[in-house]
Amino acid sequence: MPLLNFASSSGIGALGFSPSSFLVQLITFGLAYLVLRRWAFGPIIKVLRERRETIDKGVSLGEQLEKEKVELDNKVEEMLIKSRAQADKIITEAESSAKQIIKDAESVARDKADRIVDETKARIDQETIQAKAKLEKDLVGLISLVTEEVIEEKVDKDSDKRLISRILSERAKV
Amino acid sequence: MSARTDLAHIISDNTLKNGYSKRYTQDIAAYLLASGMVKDLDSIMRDVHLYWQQAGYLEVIATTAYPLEENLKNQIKQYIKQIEPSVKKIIISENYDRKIIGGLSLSLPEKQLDLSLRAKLNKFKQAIETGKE
Repeated sequence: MPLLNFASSSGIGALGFSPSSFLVQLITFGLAYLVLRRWAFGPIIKVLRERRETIDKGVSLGEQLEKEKVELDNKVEEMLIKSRAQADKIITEAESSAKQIIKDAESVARDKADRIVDETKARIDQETIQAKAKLEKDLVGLISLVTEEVIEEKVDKDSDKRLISRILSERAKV
Repeated sequence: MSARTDLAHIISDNTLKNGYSKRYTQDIAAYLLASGMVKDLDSIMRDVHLYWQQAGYLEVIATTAYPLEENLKNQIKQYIKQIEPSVKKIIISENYDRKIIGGLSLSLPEKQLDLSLRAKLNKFKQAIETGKE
């Protein structure tokens, strides 16, 4: 077989290629391929397919979960926003109520204080009037007492005589 | 007519006719005691004075702080004659009370003339008090 004998010194033979070996290897490869194809490829491919399916499933599940997570996060964010808004509203209302309560309490207290002040003023005025009246009464009494004593001191027998005479003269003229 | 007015009449008639006497005064006192009319003495004497006045005799009780001199008594009589022209005779009974301080107070049967300094002081006090109101 001249075509198959390409040994050693020229062309492909220099590269160490042997047609008989190649053929044997080819047949062996073929046989191996057939055996593998019959008994190995199927299960391997099956396993690979299954693994791939699992992986795909996992990936799609992951994607789904990711999607759901995003949705959930959005919902949670939404609820948080709503809750914050509600809480702010409640706090504002509570603050407003508290302010109103304080304002009302202050108003009541102010009214009460004003009333107390007015009552006290009225009482003071009344007491002042009474004290004044008493003072005036005492003063009048004192004045008349002093006048009486001064007159008593001044009126002796002679001056009384002149006084009586004058009184009677004046009345006689009337 | 009551017993009081009867008695007053009798006393006035008697005193106008006979004047005052200590004996007569004692008799009247005894009668009043016996008849239980002592409490009516003031009323009786008022009536007596009225009857005297009707008869033209007027008793004036002059209250002064000091004893009255004759000229003052005459001045009083002149004044009384002015206010009671029908009076024929004026009898002044003196009464001393230092509380009036000065001036005089004349007590007639139907009149009271308080011209004393005490009265003026009281009036002054009253005027101040009522002036405040």
